[in-house]
Amino acid sequence: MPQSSLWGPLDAWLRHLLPVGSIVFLIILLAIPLPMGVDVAPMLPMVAVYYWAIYRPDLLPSWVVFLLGVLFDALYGTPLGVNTLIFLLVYGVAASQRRFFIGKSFLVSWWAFCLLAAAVSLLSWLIIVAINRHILPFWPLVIQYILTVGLFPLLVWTLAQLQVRILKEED
Amino acid sequence: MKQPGAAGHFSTFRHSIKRLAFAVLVIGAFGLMILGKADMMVAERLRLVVVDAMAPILSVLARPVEWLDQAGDTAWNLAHLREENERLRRENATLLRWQIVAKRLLEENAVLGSMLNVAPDPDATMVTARVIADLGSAFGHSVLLGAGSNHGIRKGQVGLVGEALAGHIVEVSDQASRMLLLTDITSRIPVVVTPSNANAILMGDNQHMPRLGYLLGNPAIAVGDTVVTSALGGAFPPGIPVGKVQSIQDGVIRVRPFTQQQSLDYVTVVDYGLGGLLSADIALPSRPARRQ
Repeated sequence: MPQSSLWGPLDAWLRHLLPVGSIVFLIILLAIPLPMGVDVAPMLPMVAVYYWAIYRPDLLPSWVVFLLGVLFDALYGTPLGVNTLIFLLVYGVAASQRRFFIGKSFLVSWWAFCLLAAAVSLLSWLIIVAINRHILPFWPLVIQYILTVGLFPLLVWTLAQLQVRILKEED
Repeated sequence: MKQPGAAGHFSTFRHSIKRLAFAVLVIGAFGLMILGKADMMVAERLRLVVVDAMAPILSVLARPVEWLDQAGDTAWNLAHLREENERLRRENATLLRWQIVAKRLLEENAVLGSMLNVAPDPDATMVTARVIADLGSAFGHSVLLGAGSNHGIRKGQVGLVGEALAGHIVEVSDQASRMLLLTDITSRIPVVVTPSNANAILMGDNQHMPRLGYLLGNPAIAVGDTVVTSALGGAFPPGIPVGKVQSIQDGVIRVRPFTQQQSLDYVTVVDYGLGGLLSADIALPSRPARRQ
């Protein structure tokens, strides 16, 4: 709804925090200890990075993606830089191909995410193995991957709803 | 270029700046990885800043989940009041018998100790801390505790749930600390398998059940054997229960820990005055240097 001119700029500024805010929220959400939680958390922040890179890259500059990756690595205790790189790669691929994605059906973007997530998961596995100099079991990664691509539709739907409600007015 | 003129040039210019920035950031991410490997202290300090900043938020968010959990527990308890009472009555009878045994042993121990002039163990101090974040990923298993150096928690201290080992403290900030779980890929704990008294290292590999490594000789280990900590290396006090041998397959022995990650809500952090892991941590940076 239209607001007074004084409220306007602040309001727009707050709305523009949605992409960053949603990713920070997901990073924190996955850290909350749940009594029945699984011990491998899905990479939902990666889904959100992918989504915003396609639909509103103007509100999610690459340096912010970098900082979000550092936040994730520092909080989760993964070697610093690993998820930072993964977030950046997902962002880079999605943002550079956004013309291809926009207007395509949901299934196309899901399928593309499945491929991209598989590639970066494998890459992160290789990097961690190189850092630890120790072969890691593969199946926790597979579970994480399946959870991530499985929750993709629900999360993308939620983000799309948020985008329509909060950002659509000025699109 | 489709758009000729100044505007077009400006847009191309902005585009190349963006690309350059992206490339710099990707290099920056690699730089962070190298930094984490080369200078662990700086990487750790960076982590601690983030953890300290996030701790209050995580602490607040963990609370409603805890309330729900407690409400669930209360409902379960009310529903099972009768059986639980009966079970406790039986347990109490057994424990009373054990109390008599324990008292006798205590007296006997005191007499024998005074005869041999045994120096008493240092008193352990403990802090009970709430789990404020459960950080399981495909690459590591740790939890954040809502107590840090302000509450007396130090690196290398031991985290227990009940009497059983849950992990040890690897990072401490003012308000929070990170406990590495037994199942984490980097967790290495000196243990003894009873009754064979075989020394081994319990090695996490990011799966539910860590495995036993560095077993010397060919000790008789069977499924169901109890695994407790060993004082070897001076990192842990001896005899803290860790878990039971769950499976032996193709020479891989897996241990089911007594504490499961999902059931962690409060952890008792105990200072046995050993600080053994601290010295292990100081020794760590020398490892890459040796390989070069």
